[in-house]
Amino acid sequence: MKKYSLLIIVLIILVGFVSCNLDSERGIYRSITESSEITSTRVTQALGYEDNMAYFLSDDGIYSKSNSSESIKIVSKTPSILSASFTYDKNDILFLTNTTSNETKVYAYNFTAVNWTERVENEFENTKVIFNNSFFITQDGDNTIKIKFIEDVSNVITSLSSSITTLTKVLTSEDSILVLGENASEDEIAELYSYTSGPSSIAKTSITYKNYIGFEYYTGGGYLLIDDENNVYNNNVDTTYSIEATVTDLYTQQLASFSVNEYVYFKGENYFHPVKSDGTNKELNLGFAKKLQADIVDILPEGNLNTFIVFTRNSGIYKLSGVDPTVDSSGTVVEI
Amino acid sequence: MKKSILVTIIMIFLFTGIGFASTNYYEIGDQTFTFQAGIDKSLFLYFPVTDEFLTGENTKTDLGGYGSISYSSFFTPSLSLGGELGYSFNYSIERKLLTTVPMLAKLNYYLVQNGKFDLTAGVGLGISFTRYDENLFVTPLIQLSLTPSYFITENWGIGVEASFANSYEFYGSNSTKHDDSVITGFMPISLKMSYRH
Repeated sequence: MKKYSLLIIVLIILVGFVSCNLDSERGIYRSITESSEITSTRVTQALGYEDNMAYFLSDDGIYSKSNSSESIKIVSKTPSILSASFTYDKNDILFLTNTTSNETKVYAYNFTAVNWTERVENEFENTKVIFNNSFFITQDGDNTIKIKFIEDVSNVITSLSSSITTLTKVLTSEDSILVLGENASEDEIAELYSYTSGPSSIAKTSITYKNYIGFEYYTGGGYLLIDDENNVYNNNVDTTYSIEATVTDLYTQQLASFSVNEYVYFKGENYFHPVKSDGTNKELNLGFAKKLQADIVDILPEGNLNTFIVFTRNSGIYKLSGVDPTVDSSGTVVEI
Repeated sequence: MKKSILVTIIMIFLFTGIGFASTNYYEIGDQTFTFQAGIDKSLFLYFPVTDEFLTGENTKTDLGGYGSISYSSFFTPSLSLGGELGYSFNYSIERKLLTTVPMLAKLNYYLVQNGKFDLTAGVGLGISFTRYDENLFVTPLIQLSLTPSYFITENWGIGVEASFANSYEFYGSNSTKHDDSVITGFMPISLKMSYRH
């Protein structure tokens, strides 16, 4: 009986401590209940919208999709494609692969030649990830981190040195990248790389470190940044980063933020939260069903004013137009 | 709905116990080994913070499978204590795999035992390793079971086990995932092969 008592005591102690899930952004069963039936080719990374075609990365390659057609541009079972991006000139798509020997390689797909070739230039050595706004990061064996930009496949800008030696997180926006990490002194720092008039104007700005989960450029010359406590900061107002607004109901990843005029829309569980540069914030349903809200992967500019392409993971790709936060207009949504 | 499921399960156990009386076949020190395999169905998910109670299709999981091996030893003629190691799987509607590996200490009460036929009510307490979409977590697990078994020979028997498995994924009020705290209910039903001596 003594051995049984010991077993029961050990189990009771275990039960008191074991409920843990430290890795994920969402609870496991919440993730399941928010999953959606697969009704379209799965989108794992949205790449962009060019010439009335939406481009995205899926499990088995890179696809293009329009109103009337969907086709796979690059088939890739093995090696698998980890991440991809248009080059700045939009003539190529660069993509990073992981081979069976766990070696990463960079390839370029050219739209004119309609083929893809391996890129072996030094600039692409030790590439960690390619982001969908033409930025990518390399990390050498001595932990030297470089932020690079792909103007075109033969002209990679490599002059963006970083003070970060240990990467924590990288966030992206349309024309910029926010890199969080530690410097050589193990201080937490944040660096914002952005351009306003093409790649030759790329600049690095050191900003006050917070545990940011998203950021977006707004018309008027600044960025709204949001941290993991749902506090919104405006980098254009002061250097102390006082809180401009606090929003609720927010997802802990903000890939799907976008901006309209002076407003930045952050994605919440039930609504989008348009936050104005002065801190005014609202809740606004963009016309998507709640289940689709959870399925949104990314929202990218379509090219026309206040028109966006909404990429969902399993439920298709939509065009969102006519959004106007000043009159609480949620715009119209049409599947493409 | 939540209460009615729980009450039904408790009533099944109570009435089953009242309805039978039997002589003891087993002796202290007897042992049983079992192998079982069957189906696993999600009954409900309850998110207490947001007060959402989801059943049926709203749990977003399909019918899955369950298998386990177990061992127990009698410490009275009607009670045995042992352990069970299992494996279950279900697919979400997104076709991603949810797997659990329960490890239980299990107390079995023999409501009926006459040498040919056993009816056992069991209570298991332990932990469950759960994996979904590259994420792994560990939760406490309580399992209630009811098992009728028929012994074809002196040592070998077959039966059917119906269980109610209840686990908790809990996040504190300071966690960003507090709203995702959930109580889960699954029902594995399996064919069971037993060896006793």
